[in-house]
Amino acid sequence: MRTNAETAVALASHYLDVDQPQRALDVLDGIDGPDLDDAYLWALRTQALVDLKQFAQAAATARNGLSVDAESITVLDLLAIAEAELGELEAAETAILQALELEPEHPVLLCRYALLLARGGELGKATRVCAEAERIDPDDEAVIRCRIALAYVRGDNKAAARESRRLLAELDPDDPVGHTMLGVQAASRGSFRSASRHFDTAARYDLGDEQAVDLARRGRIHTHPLFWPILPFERFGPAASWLGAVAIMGLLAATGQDLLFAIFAGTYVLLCIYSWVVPPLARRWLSRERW
Amino acid sequence: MNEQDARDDLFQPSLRGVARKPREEGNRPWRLGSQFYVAFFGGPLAVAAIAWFNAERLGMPSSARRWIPAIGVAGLVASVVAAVAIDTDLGGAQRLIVRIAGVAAFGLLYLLQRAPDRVYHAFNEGDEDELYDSLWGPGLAATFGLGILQAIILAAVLGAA
Repeated sequence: MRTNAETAVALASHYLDVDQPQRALDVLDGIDGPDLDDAYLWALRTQALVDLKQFAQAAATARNGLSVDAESITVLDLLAIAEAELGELEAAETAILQALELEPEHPVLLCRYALLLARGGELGKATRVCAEAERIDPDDEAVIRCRIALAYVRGDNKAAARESRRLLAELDPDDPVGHTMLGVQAASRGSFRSASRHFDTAARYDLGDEQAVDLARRGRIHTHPLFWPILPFERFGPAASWLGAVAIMGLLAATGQDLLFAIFAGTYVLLCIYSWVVPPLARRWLSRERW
Repeated sequence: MNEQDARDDLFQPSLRGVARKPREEGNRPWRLGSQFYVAFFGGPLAVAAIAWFNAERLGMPSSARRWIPAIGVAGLVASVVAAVAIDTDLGGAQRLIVRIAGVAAFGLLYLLQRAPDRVYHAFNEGDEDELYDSLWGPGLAATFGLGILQAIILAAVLGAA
């Protein structure tokens, strides 16, 4: 590779490190001719497009990279990411399995495959693949993250919280994924203040992460006094709170407590109407406030 | 199967023909919790119909989806049998039976859809309102349409009995 191209590649790599994918792409656009025969260059270009969420172009770029070097694990991995984001799970699996054929003991690739399988609904196999990655390196960050994601997908919030605490304790006390998962678990317990604190911490880690910022905003909104009357609905879910209310009303009616029945039923109906009408309006109103 | 075979099996493709394209509004799943209202007011047939379309939107495999109509029909049969066994002409008691059957069917359908719903929620970007469609229209249609059908079936069976 010529010196100019080497400089451009180093600069692009730096831009990707500091989360400036568009600049990285601009720099890489200046490279042409025989320098395009370097798979690393295609990997950088694909990475920039993935960061910009231009997944169709990323997949096409990765394929160009593979025509230069069909055994580039980085490019195969990026192709799998792009195809998965496009919803083409079969193509993503083909790419990740090719990478795993070259590096079968690579914990990051194994975790990527496990998450892809989970996305396709193959939770059992996903768990086995994640266990294989854990056997190879139980302390790898990717393995812990994969275990968190799989626990969440299985609906096991407690296991997700346990792994998240491990992630925060052993790797990074400010890790956004760890805090988001702890926030989700706190919210499922009805502890919206605690959830809001975790979502805030996750959002502060990267204010450019729209999803984390949105979660933090919604976490704060749920701690607003307007939401207090509907906390039982949030805590127990609509099904359990309806059944509970119906059971109490049935009990009051059966024991002849007509006045209590009327008060309870009236309050409950008002709360239901409140829960349908107020939260959407409050969300709209409060989300206008600066986060 | 020995350890090596089990390991090799891990690297066999499992996602042939599987695609999960981002869903547009009008074609997105419904919240599982909202299906409870359909079950409570519409009964097992109504909630099964909603769960069937939701399962399709969640990309559930047909092997899991085929349980949904079975649960709906089982709920209907259970409510008819219970109504005949109790042998009451009271409309309130019949409605209660249908509601209990609907809620029981909802419980099973919820368990069936829970993992795919979590997968959908975990791997798609956007807030709740962007991820899920409103169930108001389809829910009301199912509640009235299939709720009335269920009431007619119940009345016919009770009349014949």
